[in-house]
Amino acid sequence: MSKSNTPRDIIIDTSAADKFAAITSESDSPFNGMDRKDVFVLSAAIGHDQGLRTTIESRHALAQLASLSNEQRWVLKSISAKEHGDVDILDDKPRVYKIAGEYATGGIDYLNNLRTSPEDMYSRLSTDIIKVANLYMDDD
Amino acid sequence: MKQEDVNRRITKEVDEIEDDNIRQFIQEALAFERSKMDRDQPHFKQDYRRLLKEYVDIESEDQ
Amino acid sequence: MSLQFHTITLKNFRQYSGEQVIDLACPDQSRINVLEGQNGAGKSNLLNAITLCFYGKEEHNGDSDNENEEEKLPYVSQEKLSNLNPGDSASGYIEITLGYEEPRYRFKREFETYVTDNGEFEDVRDELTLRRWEGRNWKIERNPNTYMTQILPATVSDYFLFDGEDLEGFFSENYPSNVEDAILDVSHTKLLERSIDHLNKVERQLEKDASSAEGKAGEINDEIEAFEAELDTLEGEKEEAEDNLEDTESHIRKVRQKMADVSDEDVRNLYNNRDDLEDLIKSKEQRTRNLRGETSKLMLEAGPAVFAFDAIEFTAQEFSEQESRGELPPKIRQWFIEELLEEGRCICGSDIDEEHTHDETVVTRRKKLKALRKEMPDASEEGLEGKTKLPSILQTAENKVAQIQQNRQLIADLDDEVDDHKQRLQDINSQLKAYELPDDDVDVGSLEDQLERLKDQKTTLTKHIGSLETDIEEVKAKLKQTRKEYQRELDKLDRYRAISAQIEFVQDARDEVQQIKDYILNQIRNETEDNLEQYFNTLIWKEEDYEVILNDDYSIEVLDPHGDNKIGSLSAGETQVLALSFMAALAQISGFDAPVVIDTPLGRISSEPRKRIAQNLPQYLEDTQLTFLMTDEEYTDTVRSLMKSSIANEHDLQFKKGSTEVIPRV
Repeated sequence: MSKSNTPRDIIIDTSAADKFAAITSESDSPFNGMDRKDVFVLSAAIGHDQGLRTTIESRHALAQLASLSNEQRWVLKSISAKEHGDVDILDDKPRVYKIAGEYATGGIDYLNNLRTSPEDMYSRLSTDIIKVANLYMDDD
Repeated sequence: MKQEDVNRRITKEVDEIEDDNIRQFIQEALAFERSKMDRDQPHFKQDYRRLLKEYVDIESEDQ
Repeated sequence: MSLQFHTITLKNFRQYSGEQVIDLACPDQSRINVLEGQNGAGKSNLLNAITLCFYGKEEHNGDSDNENEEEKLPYVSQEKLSNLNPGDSASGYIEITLGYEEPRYRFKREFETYVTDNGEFEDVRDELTLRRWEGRNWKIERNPNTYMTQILPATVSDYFLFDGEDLEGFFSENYPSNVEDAILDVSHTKLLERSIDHLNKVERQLEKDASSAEGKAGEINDEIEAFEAELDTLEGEKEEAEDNLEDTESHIRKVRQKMADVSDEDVRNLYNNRDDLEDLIKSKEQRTRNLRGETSKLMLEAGPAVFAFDAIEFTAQEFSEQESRGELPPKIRQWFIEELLEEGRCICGSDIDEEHTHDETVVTRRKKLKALRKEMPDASEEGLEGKTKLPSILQTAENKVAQIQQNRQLIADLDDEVDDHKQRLQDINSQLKAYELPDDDVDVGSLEDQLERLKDQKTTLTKHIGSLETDIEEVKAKLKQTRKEYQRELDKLDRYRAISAQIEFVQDARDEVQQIKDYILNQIRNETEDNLEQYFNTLIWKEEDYEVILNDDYSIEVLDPHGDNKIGSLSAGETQVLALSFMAALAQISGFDAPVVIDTPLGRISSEPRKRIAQNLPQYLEDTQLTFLMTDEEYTDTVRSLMKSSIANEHDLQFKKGSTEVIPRV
């Protein structure tokens, strides 16, 4: 297994950049004022959960990969591993984070739709997190 | 901050403006304003237009 | 010490009939004067006398029962006026001596009240006069206002001569604009503001000049004019709404003041209950907001692991299988060994520091660990790390989800509690509306109606202002964009190159001046912040120190030692302390070395915090002469004894048969 270089930036599609901006700056978002890189990880996870992987047509650098914590990177790596079907993919860092970016591109669209829907995003999202957590964690 | 401290600060900041034309224009504009401080609504347009004619050089590369 | 009042002499001024000299000079270490009088005895009129003398204006209506300024009492005392016939007049004056150790300035303003043909009163006041002590005699100065402007100009006098009860509304909902106005007042940047204003107007004029340009530039300029007109309208509407809001808030305060005068104990209890409920609602709503913020953070932290649970579990499972196939070392992790070697401590706790080369045991242990490291199979580093990390990621997420659930429950409980409180509040309001008291007591029912109307008005105005602000921002953004387009069009046309160059020049110059103004205001904000924090911690009776932050948008944060911002949940006493501290900070910043007079400094604060503030008052604005005009409720024996060592002069304002006499206490 050859180890390839870890990419410097987190990449999303250009069309998603405005949505990240909206989620971190609009008053109707519970994540107003928070970091885009953190929203990226959440978006990737939601994108994975909802099956929203979206090809990146025009590349946009959202943040530096180094700004993510170790734990956050493990979440992204796990998503790619599951997508690929085994952990061998973890040696191909560019591919790992490309997949994460594609899921995040789909995930942020979902989050932004939640924000602009009549339902309160904060209530809906916290309910979903608890519901999904109970579903998975109760099975343990 | 006392008035004189503010005045000194303004002078210092204006002195540091790099563009000569802008700096000198502002110095004259502020001098003009000081002369009219005791008036509520002084006339100013003519004076400012005169200053602009003096300091705005449309032939200059700087513009 | 600062410049101080030596004497104030009142002749025939409102309640102060005859000639009365009030001695305020402070010798040596003591610098506080106290004048005590009941409501109506003339405390506010004393403050009015000072501003009337200095600036020819009065702003303090505290004692007066008249809400309408036009119904103010005439200058001359009633006693004098009662003997007059139509066509007659009577006169009086206010004289104030100021100086450092010795009196140096004698300001005087004379006035006269005429009786008109239909029996009404008309006031006339003379120009301010000044005599200045020149070493041997009092010299008449021809430009008293010039001296007054150097001693204490009208624009900053509000921070030296004020009514403590007026501060009640200072930190209300829209307080950042009050703070901004105050700081602009003391910033001496009027010169720069003027210049910026004039440059803006010149820019518009130049744009108009270019508007006769053919083609697109003309059209775009029309658009600019339309946007500017729209902006002017919106800003005018906003200013009007803000004035109305200020008036509404002032009326609300007046209604509340009237309510406080009711003598019926049941009603007073209801008012107190209502105030307590309102405070409780405010603090619970703040707590809810805090919890929501906390929960949002938790969602961002735990959400990823929850939504990617299956992926994380899959990956951990894969690593587990690798381990069982012998592809991962079972127990010891390479990185763990690296850490041990680096830290110089073995897993058993013994020292294996590289530096201890003389110790055989240490050297041997290090060699063994290094050998163990070499022996480890060439395993996937990822797998090693992942094996440990992934389960702990899931565990952390599970804990945070539990916290989210807890917070949601807390929020739901708080919401229920707030709903109950609001219901109780409604009940109290209904009770108060239906109250019938004897005729000579306060009309509670009608005051309740007034208060409700005013509160609704306040809500409507606040929303309206908010929506106007959004519209204004939108128009400004469009204006900016359109100006850029206009500039580009102008550049294309040769004959307008000159104007275009001038417009650009004016914009550059304006930006430079704006930057200088912003820089100075920033300096002043920083200095104000430091002073505000210092004064707040001096006056506040809590043991801990607070951090006070004045933000760029002029909002203020008051952080307790835990870092929680208390600004939204300060008690009446704490708000008064903050307001007094702010006034002191501004007085300090203004650079003027003038004395301070405060009417009712301790306002309607309850007795416990009042005592504690009183204790700290002598440290308020050290080196400044302070004159407090207090009611007997404020200046209790306890408060007096706490302040005693700093007091220079005490006077009683004795109000009898419509007249006030100022009696020095011995």
